[in-house]
Amino acid sequence: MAEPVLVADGLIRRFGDLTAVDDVSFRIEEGETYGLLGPNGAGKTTTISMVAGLLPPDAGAARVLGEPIGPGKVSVKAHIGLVPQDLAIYPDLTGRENLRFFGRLQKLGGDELKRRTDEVLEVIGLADRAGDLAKEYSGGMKRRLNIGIGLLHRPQLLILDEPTVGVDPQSRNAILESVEALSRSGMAVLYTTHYMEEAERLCDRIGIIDHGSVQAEGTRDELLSLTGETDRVHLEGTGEVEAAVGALNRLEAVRSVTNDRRSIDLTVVDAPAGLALIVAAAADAGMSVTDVEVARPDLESVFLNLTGRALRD
Amino acid sequence: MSAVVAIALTSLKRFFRDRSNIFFVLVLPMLLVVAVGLQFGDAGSAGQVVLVGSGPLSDDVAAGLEAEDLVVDRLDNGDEAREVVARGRSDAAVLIDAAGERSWAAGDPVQATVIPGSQAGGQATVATIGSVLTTVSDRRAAVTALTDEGVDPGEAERSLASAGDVGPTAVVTTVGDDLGEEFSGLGAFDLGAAQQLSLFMFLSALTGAALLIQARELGVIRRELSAPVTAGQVIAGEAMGRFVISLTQGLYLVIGTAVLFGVNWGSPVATGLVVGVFAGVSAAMAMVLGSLIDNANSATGVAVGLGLVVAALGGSMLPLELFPDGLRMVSAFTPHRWAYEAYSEIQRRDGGVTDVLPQLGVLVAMTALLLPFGAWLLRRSLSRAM
Amino acid sequence: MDLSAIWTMAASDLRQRVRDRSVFIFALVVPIALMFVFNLLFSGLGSSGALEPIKVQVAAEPDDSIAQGLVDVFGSIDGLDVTATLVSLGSKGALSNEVESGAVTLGVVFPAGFAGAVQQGGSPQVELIVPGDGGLEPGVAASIASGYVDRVATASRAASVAGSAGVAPEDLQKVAQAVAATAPTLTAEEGAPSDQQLSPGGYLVAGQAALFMFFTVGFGVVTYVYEREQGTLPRLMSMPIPPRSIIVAKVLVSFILGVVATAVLLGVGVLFFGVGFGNVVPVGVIVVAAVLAATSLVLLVTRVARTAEQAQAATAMVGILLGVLGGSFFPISGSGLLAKVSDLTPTAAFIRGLGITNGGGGVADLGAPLAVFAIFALGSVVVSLALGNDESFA
Repeated sequence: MAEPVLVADGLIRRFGDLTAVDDVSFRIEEGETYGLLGPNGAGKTTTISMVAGLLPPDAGAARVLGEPIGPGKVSVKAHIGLVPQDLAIYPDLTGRENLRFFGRLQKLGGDELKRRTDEVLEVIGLADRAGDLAKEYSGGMKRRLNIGIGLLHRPQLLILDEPTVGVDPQSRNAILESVEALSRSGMAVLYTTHYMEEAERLCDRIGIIDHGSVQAEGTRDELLSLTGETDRVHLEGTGEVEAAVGALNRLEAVRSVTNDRRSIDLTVVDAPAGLALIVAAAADAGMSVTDVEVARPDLESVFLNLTGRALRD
Repeated sequence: MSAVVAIALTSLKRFFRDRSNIFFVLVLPMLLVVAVGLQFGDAGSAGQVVLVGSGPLSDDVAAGLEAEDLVVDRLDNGDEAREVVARGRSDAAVLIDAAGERSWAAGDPVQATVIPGSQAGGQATVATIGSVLTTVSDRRAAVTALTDEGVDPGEAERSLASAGDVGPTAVVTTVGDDLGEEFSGLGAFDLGAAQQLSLFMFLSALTGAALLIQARELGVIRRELSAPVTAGQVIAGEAMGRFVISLTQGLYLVIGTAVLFGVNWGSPVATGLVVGVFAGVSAAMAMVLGSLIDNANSATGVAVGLGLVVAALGGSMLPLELFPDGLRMVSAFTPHRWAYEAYSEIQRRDGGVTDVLPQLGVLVAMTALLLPFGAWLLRRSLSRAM
Repeated sequence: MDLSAIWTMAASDLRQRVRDRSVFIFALVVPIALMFVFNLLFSGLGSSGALEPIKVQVAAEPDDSIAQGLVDVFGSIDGLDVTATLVSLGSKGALSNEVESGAVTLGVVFPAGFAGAVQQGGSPQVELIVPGDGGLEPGVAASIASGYVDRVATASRAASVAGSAGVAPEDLQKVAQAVAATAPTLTAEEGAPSDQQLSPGGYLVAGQAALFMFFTVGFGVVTYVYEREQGTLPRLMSMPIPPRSIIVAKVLVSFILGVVATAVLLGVGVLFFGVGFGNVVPVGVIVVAAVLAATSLVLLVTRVARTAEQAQAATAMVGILLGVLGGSFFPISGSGLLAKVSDLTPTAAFIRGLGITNGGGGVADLGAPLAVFAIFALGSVVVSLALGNDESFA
């Protein structure tokens, strides 16, 4: 099997008395999008600083394509595209100048630099505004430029630090779509966010991070199963409620049934798949269903379960 | 009214939140008052002379120079003296070597070396040195003439010294404006304090203009306008903000220099009025500047540049009395010049409110011209910002 | 070191500084404006070169020999353009007006019966009429006149002393004449100051250039703190370049801005104020060394400052303090402790170095100022290093 694109192994970083990152390990394979999900101050940015070679870890190590990364490891950094959380662009340069500047520092030059600049401008939708100063761009355009700079040199590892903070819904959707496209093209992506919807939508695997350490890791479903929670369906209606309880108990997907005079609560495996069957069974038993509610556990409840607090407070 | 005050107070708070302003507003002006005071405050001093040489002749010359109100700095080394003069640290140097001292003792003629400095005052000091040397020379001629007539040399010197009331004396009458008298009523720090007061009040208001631009850039003004206040109130508030910044600066300097350096500010009412009116002009000017320039960075640069140049033209760097005539005309267009005149009236001649009415009138007139103009400009730029 | 990366960053920084006009304003417009204003102001102080012609009118009785003697003294002075005339005592009132109007430089009034009063050992007063607004020429003329009166008084005193010492009355006049006629035995020859000096105009230009050098170099190094604040620093650090090359690029920007601005300011001085600084090569060495010293000092300031705002304020403070202490506005007078401290500032070293080059000194003569620059540069670098390695400098 090929070398993972990124391996973080036991990273620890302290600032004074505060241990910002405490023994964080994870790996990202080619074409994989890995999410670090956690609230503000959980240690996401510090982790990124270490795997991007900005900060030396106090202990542990990170390797990119098998080579150790750190502040002095110049050649390895060429494989990484970092998109910092803050807008890392120069307001007094045009969009094109921003791209060309960072492109040069990435050792691109000549025709290649020109071609890649044009391509990226196209991808981020700034081709017609490329000659305007970045300070004249809208917030969404600045964000897109910020990401574009990280793509310029076709990195094998793209690191996005909360790229959607403060972005309008439309730009946000565009950003998410382009990350999906990049991932399909084989790029490994490290994506930090405190929005669980983004992590659910984009990430093949997710590490839940809090207080500097990874609390749990896995695919979305693996994480959900950690909570021990299942999907819940709540039915309301009139008629033969008791008969419906009997019918529902016989369904394979149903784990438990409780009821009162006018409603039934079920725990189910994969509620979306079984919902039609459940409603049909209740109707067949003579209950006229007036309302259906489905509640599924999400990463929010995983986080709550792991840390005892909400993701956003 | 309370809306105006709220906007004004916020301006003041924001101004002092920028910590660099604390240095420029509180520390720097005091430093400059001290520097100017130390440099020019020695009011009795006619200049600075370096004297190299040791012996009775050198001592005589030194005493003569000091009698002419020159500050004498004695050094041992001619080369050092040449360098001190070359670097403008002294107005002139007098060099008397050991051979000169010996010749003098032997009654022979002596040639001292006098080195003029190139800075202002060098030649006047050299003329004074020349007359001091002549006096020393004449006194010896007198002693010699008496000795020739059989008078004991020691006796001759003593008698000459005690016969000071014999013989003609020169008295100097000045006609026209009298500079010496003009400055005579001033303490060491008074002039510098009055000059820095205007310079910094104006400068603080103008650099406050950068805040006005920032407020526009940040959209604060737009938000202020969206509150239930009129555009007029917002403009009044912003003008008040500049005014309060400038006034705070002014009161701090007046009180601070009075307490720290014993600067005499004369009648509190008159000084207070001048400070208040000057703050008004400064605020009005700041409004004009803040509305005309649309970039906070360049506004700070323009504010500092304009503040310094206008201050220099208005007598805040060189006393107005020393201006060439043409520039004195130009200075009439700066508010500093009128404030300078008003403080002169107050500090030097114990002037009261009525004595500074003309200057107050000019300052008020300047405000009356600038303020509506600035308000109009701001209103125009606000309506564009909508 | 990655030279092409350093140059890429420096060039991009320069482009941004040029777009944001404040560097022009602080580095060129403000100092040049100040130079013009100061030049206008101080040119009125008579500091520049030769004295205007001096016109003296002596009002006295026609047969007053002492007054005539003063006219002769004025006529015999070398190196001064003086016209002295004797006018009638009756025109005394007009004389005041003429002095006030500037038509006459100095008026001297010997009262009626003056010569006789002097001979009898009295103490009559000679009135010197000078314009109140100062000026150099009236001062020079008045000091010649009062020197003359002094001499007459000394002669008179000698006669009086001789009289009371028992010298025969017929010899008293002889004593007085002996005093008056003796050639001065203490005279002055004009010596040259060290030729390593700037003209007043040159001093002004050099002083302002030295003062604003600190602000100008600040525009380079301080952007390092800006990058940290605006978030571009992490991105730069993630680039495949040695981390140190970032700060090296900032230093290079400071250096270029400082050298260009200082050269322009000195050039403006040469072109518009007609001042000279000497041979281009040693002047260039001074400028480069001074800018390096200023840059390293600003680097230290930047190292300590947490925000760009702090860094700029601190740079301004250091610049103004060194400027005042180093004599940017006026030379620290005398040779005391303050002057010695002043000598140690890069500002004073810059002005002094230009004085040396203006006096014809070459690079080899610049030891003292260069040593000051070197001490400052080394000191700043050592302190910077002693502050330890934080992540941004790692």
